Amino acid sequence: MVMVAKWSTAMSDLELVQGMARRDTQAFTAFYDRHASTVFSLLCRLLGDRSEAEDALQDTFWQVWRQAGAHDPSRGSGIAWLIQIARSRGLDRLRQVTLRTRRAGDPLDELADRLSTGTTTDQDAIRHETQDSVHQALVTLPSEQREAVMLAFFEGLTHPEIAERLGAPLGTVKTRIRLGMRKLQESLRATGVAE
Amino acid sequence: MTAQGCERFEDLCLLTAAGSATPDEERALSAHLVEGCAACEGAQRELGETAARLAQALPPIAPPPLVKDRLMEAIGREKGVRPFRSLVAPVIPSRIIPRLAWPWAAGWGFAAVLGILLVWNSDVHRKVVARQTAELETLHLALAQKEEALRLIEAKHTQTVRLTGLDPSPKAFGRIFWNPEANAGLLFAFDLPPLPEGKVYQLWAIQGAAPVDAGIFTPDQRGVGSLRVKALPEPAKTVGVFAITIEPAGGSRQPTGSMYLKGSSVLL
Repeated sequence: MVMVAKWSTAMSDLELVQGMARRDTQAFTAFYDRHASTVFSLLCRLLGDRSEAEDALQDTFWQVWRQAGAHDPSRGSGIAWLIQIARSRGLDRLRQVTLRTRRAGDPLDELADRLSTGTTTDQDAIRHETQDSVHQALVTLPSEQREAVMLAFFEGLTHPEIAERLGAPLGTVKTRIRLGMRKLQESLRATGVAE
Repeated sequence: MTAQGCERFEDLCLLTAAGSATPDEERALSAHLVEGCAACEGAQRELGETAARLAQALPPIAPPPLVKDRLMEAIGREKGVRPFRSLVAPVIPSRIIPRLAWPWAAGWGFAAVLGILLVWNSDVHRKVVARQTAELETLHLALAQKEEALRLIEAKHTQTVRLTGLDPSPKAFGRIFWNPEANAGLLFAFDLPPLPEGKVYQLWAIQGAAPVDAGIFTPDQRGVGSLRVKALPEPAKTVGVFAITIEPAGGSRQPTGSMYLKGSSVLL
């Protein structure tokens, strides 16, 4: 228990990934406990189906466990690596399965509904801080840029698909996404949340 | 942000990080990065961090404990198996490169070309191995899930509940393998009518008079649906009936739509 607590709170993501590379199941447990709810939320949003999201979550963390030894920290942090895998597995599943339904809610509304319970750990505090910063960054984006970024990131649509969905020219959609991502990056840099 | 002449790839970095790049564009960016453009690689890394923060902004949703249980079980089974990552080509230590007897200039030139080739080949190889590894892992996982299903079906206390189609879908039928001791089950349903937009099928376990949510699912184009039955809050209570209704996306707390399939929980 002492070791689990140590893994859970004291270790960085990078240290946990290195632990997994050494086939340490406690490191995997700590990494899973720290990030599974974030990844599951993303997959629920992407797939619009809880059962599919559960399977994609399992695929994601299985790949994390199997490929931890191949993670290159110079190419990105542990969470960036994890989210990249999660989106990839989610999109694979989205292509494989014909999902007839998607959640209709606006992701921005969901962000507003984020957890209001008291902070219990340092990780929770960091997560809440990140949520606030990203929420603020998204709110300040022009609505058409925000919509384009949201459709790409959370709905898994390519820019031709977004152009079709919005009835906007392809070039316009690409510009909105580019500008939106760039502004998002600048805002997060300014708040110290991202590099 | 990126080097001169890389404007197109800077755009692709932004589109890829947002997740909107087409497969062709992703391939073009990968090919560019393989060429060793440090500026674009840096841009992609930074944008990857931004994308990760975007994901972290969603309100977290706790996954069901079953997912972690399955993963830990699979990891337990895997222990001792040679990890796939060991298939990645090992880095060749510099000391084993033979000493060259050629003139210095030619020697350095050869070493430089060799170095570039090694880095390029290693990167390409790494990507190929990573893709193949992911495919193998998907197969492993599929196999593990099938094994899990078989174990449940073969378990001593597992009951088979036959579901028959009701008025809205008389041709539909299904089967639930339900194990009250393990509080786990599997549903397979066939010939289900296509769902209206914004709807899902929802399974209910009726314990006494109270229907309990047992999970939602969407069938495929053939009308075939499957579901891992959700663990019930009070598994000790007998499930008298399983029923399937159509509900709004995301499911309902109580049944609101028509009943499409129904079956009594009798040991067969």
